[in-house]
Amino acid sequence: MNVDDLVGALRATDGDDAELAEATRLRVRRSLETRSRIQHQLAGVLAAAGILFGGTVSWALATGDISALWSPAPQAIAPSPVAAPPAPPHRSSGPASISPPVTPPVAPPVTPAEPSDVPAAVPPAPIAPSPVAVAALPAPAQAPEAVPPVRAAAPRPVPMRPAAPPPVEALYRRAHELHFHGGDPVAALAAWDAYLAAEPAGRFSADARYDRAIALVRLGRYAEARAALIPFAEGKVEPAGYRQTEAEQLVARLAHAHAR
Amino acid sequence: MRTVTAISMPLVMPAAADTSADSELVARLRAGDRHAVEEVYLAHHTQIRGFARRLVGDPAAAEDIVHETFVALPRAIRRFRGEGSLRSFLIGVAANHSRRHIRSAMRRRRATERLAAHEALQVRTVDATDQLITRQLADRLWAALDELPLDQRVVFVLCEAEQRTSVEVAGIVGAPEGTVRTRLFHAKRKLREMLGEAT
Repeated sequence: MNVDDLVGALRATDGDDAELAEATRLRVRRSLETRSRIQHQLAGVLAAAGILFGGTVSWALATGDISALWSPAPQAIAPSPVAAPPAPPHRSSGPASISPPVTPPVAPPVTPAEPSDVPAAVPPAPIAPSPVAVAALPAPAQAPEAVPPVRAAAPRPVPMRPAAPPPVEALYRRAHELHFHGGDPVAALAAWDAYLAAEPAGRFSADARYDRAIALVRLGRYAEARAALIPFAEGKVEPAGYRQTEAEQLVARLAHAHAR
Repeated sequence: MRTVTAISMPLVMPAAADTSADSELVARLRAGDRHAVEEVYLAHHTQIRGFARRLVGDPAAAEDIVHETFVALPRAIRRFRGEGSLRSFLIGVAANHSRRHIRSAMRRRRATERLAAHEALQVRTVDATDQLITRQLADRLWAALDELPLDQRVVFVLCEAEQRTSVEVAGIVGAPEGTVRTRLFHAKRKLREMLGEAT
């Protein structure tokens, strides 16, 4: 048998089936449409995942709580009776807040160094010691009742803490403890200064500067306190707008107090 | 033992007359235009189907190869440099997708040998008989081609059944012209041995 004869037979078997060709054309079209649809769906899922990830990271960077994303959850949930959460307890109402707000059981009003002309002109806020300090300020004579509880707003998530905090975090925790539970504004001020010296631009720096200003208020160092609060009032502290409203009110009151 | 080696994708295409007509379609394919795939199908499916049928010897498997070739085209077109015709490129893509279809066609052919012999007894008219003989001869060649490596099989079909030049086949299979000639030589020698033993 000659190979060429077989090749001739091979050529002769070639026949085109129009129906088969049309069916294959439709099959190709369907396959391409299916592939395109899957690619679009995949692109949508990837875009959504990217947006979610980007949003999460942006939120974490904006709030300074990026480390909280990586902290083990059980450590954050387990409350420590000795080591209180270092963040101001009355600010913890964000989505990541796990520890309940800690209200000091007995929080005596801290009397400023200077005697106040109008003591207790505004009733102290029930949840935090800082409004107490604000309340102890000499209030403007025109509208003493117009002072709101300064530190009750601006909810902010409490970062979860690892079991062994780094030294700067220990400094912050100590300053926080002295500020809210120590009853000694001098020690609290020194502790805030120590923390800010160690971490001038850390995750708690804005908190620390604000609380340091409050400590100055408690000590009656109104000019310094006002100078410390002005950046907050002007919205120049990151994150932008952080405690701006409260700071504006405090600055206004401190201006009056300083003038008197 | 029969070995099947891979066929590399065509990298260099020979010059062809219809490249200018292809260029617009190629540009649309690269832009992701699905309608361009259909236009390419309408323009070239007959030749691709003919090659696939000669290669595998099974109409169903050939249709699968044609389908896969055009579905793969939007991605495969990235490798098309425009140095040859789009049709030659498509044949190369079809050859690249033919491996598993050749195997399945081979299994199917062996499984239906008995049925084909029974059908042969039913043929009565001259035309039908002539077709039957042609089919039987072609089946004998496909059975012999099943024993060849894939690259030799593809070269044999392109050069002998489709009567393409070695230069063109070299562009289609992405191999040097000398390699194509060598593959064709070995393919013919093996086929002669096998068919000589069979007859």
